[in-house]
Amino acid sequence: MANYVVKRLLAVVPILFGVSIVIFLFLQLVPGDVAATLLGPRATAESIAAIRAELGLDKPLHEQYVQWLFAILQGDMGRSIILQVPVVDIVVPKFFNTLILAAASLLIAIVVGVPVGVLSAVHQYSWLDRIGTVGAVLGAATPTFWLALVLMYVFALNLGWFPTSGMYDLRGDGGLLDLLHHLVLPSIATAAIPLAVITRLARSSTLEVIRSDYITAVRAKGMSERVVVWRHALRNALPPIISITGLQAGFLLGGTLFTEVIFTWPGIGLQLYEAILGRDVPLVQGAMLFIAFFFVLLNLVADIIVAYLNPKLRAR
Amino acid sequence: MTDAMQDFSRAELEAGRAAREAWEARAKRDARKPESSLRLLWTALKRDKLAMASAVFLLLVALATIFAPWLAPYGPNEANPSLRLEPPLTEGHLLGLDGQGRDILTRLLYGGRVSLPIALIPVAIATFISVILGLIAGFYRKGVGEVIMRVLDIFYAFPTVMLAIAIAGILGPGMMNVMLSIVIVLIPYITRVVYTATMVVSEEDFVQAARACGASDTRIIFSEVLPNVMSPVIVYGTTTMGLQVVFAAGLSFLGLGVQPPIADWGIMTASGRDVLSVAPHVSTIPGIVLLLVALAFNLVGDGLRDALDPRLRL
Repeated sequence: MANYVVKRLLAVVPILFGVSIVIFLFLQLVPGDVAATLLGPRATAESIAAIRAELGLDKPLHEQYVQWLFAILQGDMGRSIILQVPVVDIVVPKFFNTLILAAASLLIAIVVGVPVGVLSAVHQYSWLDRIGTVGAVLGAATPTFWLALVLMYVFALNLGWFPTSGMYDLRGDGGLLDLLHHLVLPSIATAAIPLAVITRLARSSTLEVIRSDYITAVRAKGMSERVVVWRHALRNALPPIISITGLQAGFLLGGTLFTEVIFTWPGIGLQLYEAILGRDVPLVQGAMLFIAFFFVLLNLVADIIVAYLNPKLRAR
Repeated sequence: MTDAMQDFSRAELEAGRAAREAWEARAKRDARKPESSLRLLWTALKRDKLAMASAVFLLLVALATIFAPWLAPYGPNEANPSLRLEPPLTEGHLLGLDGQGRDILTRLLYGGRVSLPIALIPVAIATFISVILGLIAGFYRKGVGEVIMRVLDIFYAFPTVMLAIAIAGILGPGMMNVMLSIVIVLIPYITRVVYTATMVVSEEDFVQAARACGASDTRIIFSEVLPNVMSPVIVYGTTTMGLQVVFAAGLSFLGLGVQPPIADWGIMTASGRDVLSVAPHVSTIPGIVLLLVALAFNLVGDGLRDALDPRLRL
């Protein structure tokens, strides 16, 4: 197991290195003269020269990269052009807000998806199975931004049960209940797609296991159906579910963007969006780097958990 | 040799001849009608009613948008301010009017002329590039293949939505940039599908046989391997088309795609955001169209996958 973990950790290093190159090259994607574009039409010659020097644009590309990478490794992601504060100071707290939203959505997806998927498989072709399957197919096709608007219209604007935007009430105490109140609609909107994916996989994975001989053997031993399904079947159906959950967790880091924009949830997605609109390249780069880093980390953790549960995979 | 044994060997001969004849007959029939994997796929798909209905629905949507100028009751930017925000079933306006008094049904028909190609063209381009990359990577696994796959691994480290938004956003708004960003984020995923299939196929006996006959690598790759890796690619491509239609609309919704006044399902959804509380139909109707189109692509994709591998039909 330790061998496997070390091997996987080592494989991550070149990927992160490549990621840094791709993100660095983002600056080159900006059409026209970078410094002039970043500063907009009212830029003076001096300010353009200053930003060129700050970004190191006057040096050859590879030198720029090395300089940039070393700064990053020391925790310096540069300064945001619009907000004029270090990128790290913006990205870290915003990322934390996104983690709250992503975690809540993932929790909904797992807590609803796994039981519904497993029960659908156990009672194949029952009404629960039909509703679960149709729901999963619909959920996978639902545009997140549309669902967010529908939820907002029904539950915030019409019924007034939940707030339409933000993380905390301005006049509220900023406590946990306030946060949860604001979290409900965005997290449901974001959960739709991972929920559909997890339900579907939990169902197919359980269906594959439930017909195997050892389940028949467990049943023959006279175990109650509950023990058969939740202790014996689920354990073997779990590895693919964990794999896909890991992947979905990663995608949520990006998938929250639409909900964050619509519900003005102050997360990294909304920040990235605003940075993109303002062509704030250092901030875009910082946010992307942070997200990619956590995405790789999440996939790594998911792989390790799966390998831990399924010794056959470790040998590979 | 005893009589019994003679009878036995005669029977064996008979059986052998029968088997050979059957085999020859089948070979002859197969020679007349080659059972390519694509034809098998089509035969199996025809039996899947849901998938077929979805395919017909998509065809109708495509036709409706192509013939929008003849079908649409109004011009896409023709406004009737006195009726602005009127709900669906208003006389003469089946799906109601938007904030500027434009007919929503008309704009949906015209919107498809942007929303569909902006997603489908990149899928086609990305598939073309990925098939070539995947074939090369799967066939020359050491060396070139290794390099291709390691480079693509890097793109796996980004959540797709975020990468595409960042690329499209930095390049600036516009149809071309949206398409470019979708092509870039799709290539790693489709290439991996082709790569995996190529690895499996290139170990098959018929590939070895072609090589023994002295066929060049190019010939083996294009006439032996390629036809046998197309099915998984088509399945993946179909399913991803639905996702990309939604995603491209999402980019427009965020203001990173095509720019108004061009109608597009994403922009139409966005335009209803400010009037959501008074006229929810402006935002929700285009979203429902997106949902239905994505759903249909998914169902066709599922049908293709089941047809390809009936074992997966669970």
